[in-house]
Amino acid sequence: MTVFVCQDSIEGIFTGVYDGWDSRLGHSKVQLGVAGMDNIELFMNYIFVDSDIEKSYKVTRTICNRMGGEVYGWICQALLSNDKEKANAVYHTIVAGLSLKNGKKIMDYLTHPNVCKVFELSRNVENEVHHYKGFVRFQELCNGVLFSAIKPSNNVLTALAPHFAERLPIENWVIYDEVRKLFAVHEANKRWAIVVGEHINKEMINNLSAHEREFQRLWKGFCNSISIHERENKNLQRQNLPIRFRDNMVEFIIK
Amino acid sequence: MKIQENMGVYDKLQILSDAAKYDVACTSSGIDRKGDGKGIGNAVAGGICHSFSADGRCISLLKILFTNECIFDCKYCINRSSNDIPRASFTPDEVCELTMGFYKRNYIEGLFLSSGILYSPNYTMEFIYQTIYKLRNEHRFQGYIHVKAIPGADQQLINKVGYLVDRMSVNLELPTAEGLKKMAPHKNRKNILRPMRQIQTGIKESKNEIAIYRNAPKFVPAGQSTQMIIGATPENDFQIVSVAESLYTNFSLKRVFYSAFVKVNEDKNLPALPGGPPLLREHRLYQADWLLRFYGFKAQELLSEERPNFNILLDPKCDWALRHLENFPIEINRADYFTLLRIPGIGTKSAQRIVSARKLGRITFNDLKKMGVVLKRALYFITCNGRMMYQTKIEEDYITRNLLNVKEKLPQGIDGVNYKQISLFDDMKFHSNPTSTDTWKITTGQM
Repeated sequence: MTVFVCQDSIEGIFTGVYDGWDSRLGHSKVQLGVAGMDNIELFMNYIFVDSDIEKSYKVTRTICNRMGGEVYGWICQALLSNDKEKANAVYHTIVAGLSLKNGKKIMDYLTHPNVCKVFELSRNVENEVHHYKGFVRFQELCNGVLFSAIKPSNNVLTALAPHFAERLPIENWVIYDEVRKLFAVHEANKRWAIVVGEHINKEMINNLSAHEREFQRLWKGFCNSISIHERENKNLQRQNLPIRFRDNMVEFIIK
Repeated sequence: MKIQENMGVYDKLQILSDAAKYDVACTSSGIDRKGDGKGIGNAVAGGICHSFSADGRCISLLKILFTNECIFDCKYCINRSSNDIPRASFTPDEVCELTMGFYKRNYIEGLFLSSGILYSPNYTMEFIYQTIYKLRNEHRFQGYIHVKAIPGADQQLINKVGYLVDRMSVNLELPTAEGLKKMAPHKNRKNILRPMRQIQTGIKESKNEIAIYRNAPKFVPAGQSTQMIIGATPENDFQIVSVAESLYTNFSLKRVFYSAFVKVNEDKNLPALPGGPPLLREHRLYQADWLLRFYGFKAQELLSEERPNFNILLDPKCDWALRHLENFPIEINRADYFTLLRIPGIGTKSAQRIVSARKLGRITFNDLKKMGVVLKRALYFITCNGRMMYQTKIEEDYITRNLLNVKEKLPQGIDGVNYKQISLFDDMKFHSNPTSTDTWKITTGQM
């Protein structure tokens, strides 16, 4: 059994898919792994794969032509997740999809274990993105920038940024992923971008604008007064809004 | 009645959001709208929940009253004119500032604006129109707006507001006209149904215009909804569900909301409700509401004159299935979509997935579990390739007992059982330290 170990990015994994197919070893003898996520096992042949933009473009074109844009969306979402099985599941799903007459239907084929896995991963990422669309909280800084920090389990910035780019097109905003140290940045009236490798400037973050404290106070007061005491149900609240989201949400921070 | 001059925005917000909280319409769903790039905001069809309050409900809109002064004296309402509570009013500018400030910080999805009635329905509706006009045109807000139409307001005002908002609703308040007359003598059924009819006609005409000219202005694009109070008057569940069904068919409503009656006023006409607000009943009504809208059920199938109230222990779909066991077991690989929906444990998403996956191969019980079917409930009602999962009798009592073991968490004592059978093997923690004779016996091996 040969394992192609890829880098943890969409280009990296698609390069792995290209190499795995190209190696002509037979699909049952090929697995994909992600660098840094797997334990090394005995009796496996490890091949390390460098990302190659050309190869990943070819794989992208093949997927879009044979399986359609929707399936491509599912696959990319699954690749944003944090699961170490993701590369292998995607590889075998692509293999299965290319063998179908109508590749677009591959995601209906939920009886196939790898298709089912891709479906679950994709749904997991989609749910987390949907949660963050509601739970992101911006703070207005003195220089007019709206700043927000999140701690996602999956790499959701790429899926989250377009939503806010459309919603706040004339504002400068930044969303910071604390776990991966990534920034999603948007300048007013321009396109959004992901920034890697920068560090956060703590004094600027705490330099809030004049109105900001007042709005935070208004919001906290509103959240309190909108609740009906006779129906209080903390368990239901925790089920709907898990505690891991609450660190960065204004109404749950007690000062 | 206290009227405070120069109240700050914080205090006004406290009073007017506290006054609005019994209006349970909370969704921001129903319409997809892109921003135009020059304003702020967009709308997402599925709705987005921004937070959850301590009672577990979703907070997705800035839910406020424009004013809590009111000339009406409805018995169930905290803002009734005979209550002595602090009264306040916003100005249109204050509402706009709050909405824009909260929206920019991603606290809310949009605005929900209701109001008590100040001087007259038309006077109040005019203020609401001014606020929404400012929000849409001066501040260029393109997020979600939900407005309550004031019963009794002029048709033209409702028309003007309808072109600016996403959803407009009128509260039915009580399910029957008698109930309404008893609880809210100033309101009458005609004044409530007339604007509902007007909004329904407006929506239909607007859709026809858009079919001809794509950029025609949209009238209330996210549809209409309404709300009923449950438990304040003695209607039974069958009557309430029938009213909801006729609202959906005759008025093309998007949603009906049910609000469990919370006793905020002392009044001889209001029930005492010793057990607190009827939350389980409200829950069953929402379950039945979903069955009407998405599962193809009719009110007659769920309840009837002889069985006018819902089963406390089982949800309405399980209850229906147990009363109609002649339809089961259903073969998963053959049944059509609407038959699959009738199986307890299978919802709309699972049924869609089953129908799609069937085309690519036979389905087994393992696959069903991965597709999201609740096998613990469904196994009594289905066969896969001709076989049932375990040998079960298709018999009402047997299946009921097994389903109740899987049950949802009901409040204790609700099925009338206030005792519990104990056994020797329960860990009751009857602790007492061993006596010295016992200790000696153990060490010498006599025990």
